[in-house]
Amino acid sequence: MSDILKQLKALKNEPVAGAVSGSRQLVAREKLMEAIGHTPTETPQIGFSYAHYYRWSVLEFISTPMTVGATVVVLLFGGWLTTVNAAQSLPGDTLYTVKIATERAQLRMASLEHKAVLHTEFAGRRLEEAAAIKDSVDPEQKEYYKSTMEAFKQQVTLAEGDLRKMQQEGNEQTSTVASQIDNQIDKLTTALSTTNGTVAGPELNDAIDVTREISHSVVNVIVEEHEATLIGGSSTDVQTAFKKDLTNVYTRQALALARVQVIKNVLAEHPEAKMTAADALERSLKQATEHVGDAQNIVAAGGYREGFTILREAEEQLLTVERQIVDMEIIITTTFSSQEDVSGEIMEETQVSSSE
Amino acid sequence: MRRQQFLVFRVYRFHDTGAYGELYDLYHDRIYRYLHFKLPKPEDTDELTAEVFLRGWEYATSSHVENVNALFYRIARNLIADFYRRRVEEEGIDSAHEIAVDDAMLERLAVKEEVKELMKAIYALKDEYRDVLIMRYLDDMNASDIAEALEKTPNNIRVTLHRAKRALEEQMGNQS
Repeated sequence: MSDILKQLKALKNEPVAGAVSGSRQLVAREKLMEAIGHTPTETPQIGFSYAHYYRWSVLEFISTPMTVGATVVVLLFGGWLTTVNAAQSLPGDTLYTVKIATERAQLRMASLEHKAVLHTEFAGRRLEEAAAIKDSVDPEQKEYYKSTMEAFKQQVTLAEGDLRKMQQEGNEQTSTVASQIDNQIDKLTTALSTTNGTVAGPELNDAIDVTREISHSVVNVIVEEHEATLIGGSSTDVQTAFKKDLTNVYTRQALALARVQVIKNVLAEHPEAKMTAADALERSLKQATEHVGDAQNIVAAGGYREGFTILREAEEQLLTVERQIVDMEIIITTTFSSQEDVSGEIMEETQVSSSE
Repeated sequence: MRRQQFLVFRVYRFHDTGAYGELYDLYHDRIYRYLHFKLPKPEDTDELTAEVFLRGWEYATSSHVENVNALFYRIARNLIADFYRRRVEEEGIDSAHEIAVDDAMLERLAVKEEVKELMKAIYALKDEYRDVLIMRYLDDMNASDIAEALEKTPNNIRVTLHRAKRALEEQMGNQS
């Protein structure tokens, strides 16, 4: 090796040639890890098995167009048993790759209208899988929870994307498909709120937010389609969507009030506990639907857009209170199950959360 | 390489921040050095290095990355281009080519005479020669890794490396 190359190699540790000191790198690393949401306690040192990786590599291979075609042929000639078993599989299972490949094959072959609805069906599956994984005893499988919730959000977003594409193309079925998607999203919202009672977490709240946004967007499509075809057009879809949303708001309010009543009953058994926070929640719930009656009148006069806006505001307020109810339920459950006294301090905590 | 691919998989599939931390440890130094030789101030290098890894995280969590080495360098190149574009817009064309090293800076850093000479020679080289020399001899990358980083073929890199060594020797000869 020539002298110049030796000198060049010796530059490696010179700051003037871009060498970084360990401490500076550490500070920069910490900043990055904070920015990407790393919590030191959450992730153990990576020594995990490569099994997931190999399974995923296989999935990537089998989901190429050629292999999807080949899979379809195999399925047509007697792979039904595998498909049925795969349908029950969860992320991390060997047959899960077959399930996803089958879904991708379905999407590849579907028309745009069908594809939009299919995405919501698949979103429903992801949600069921996420719920099952959350309860799983297998720690490796639990790792899939986050990515499954991501896949759920992705499917819901793709459904909306396809719907918007249909609208841009002037597809006549846009309104009908939007109604179908709206129905599916309602089911998903119900499923999410059921899960919310048992498992809270950032992923779940995130999924609820995304679903709500998509739901609003889908309803907007219905309203826009209605407005575009107002002359001689039918308003059945938009009326149905409004009635459904209206029922949904009142149902959510009734359920939430029932939950607050349960909280009050529990608190009543403990005379030392204050009722202030529960009363505040009850008041907020009632206030949430104060203007919904106006929305009905406005819609009756043909003002769908404004009517939906009022419903959205009511939904937002309900959601805020629902989250406060969850917080309060958790505090009460943990406090009373450990047989601790309900101190004024704890109750103040619930009051703070409800006033936020 | 398999480990890197596995870490990329963890980041993509599980948004595993720990795995990304490991990738950061593997690639930080070389990306930092790459930017160091292309930007005027150490603060700029710090800022853009952090940006490379932040963008890398966003990309790697949303799409599967075939080659993470190439990804980081591609992001770095784009950021450098943006940096100088912004600089031209803000300060005019004259400031755009004001690259890092000058005598005053080397004096300030109290660098040894031979290091100073070598640095001057390196900065006098064409960009592509400087890149391959640094990657090969300072970052210990092989021709395939360099080819991926610079989006060229390994053969092309070998030829460029050969010419770069010759050009560096000539520069050093001229200086002495």
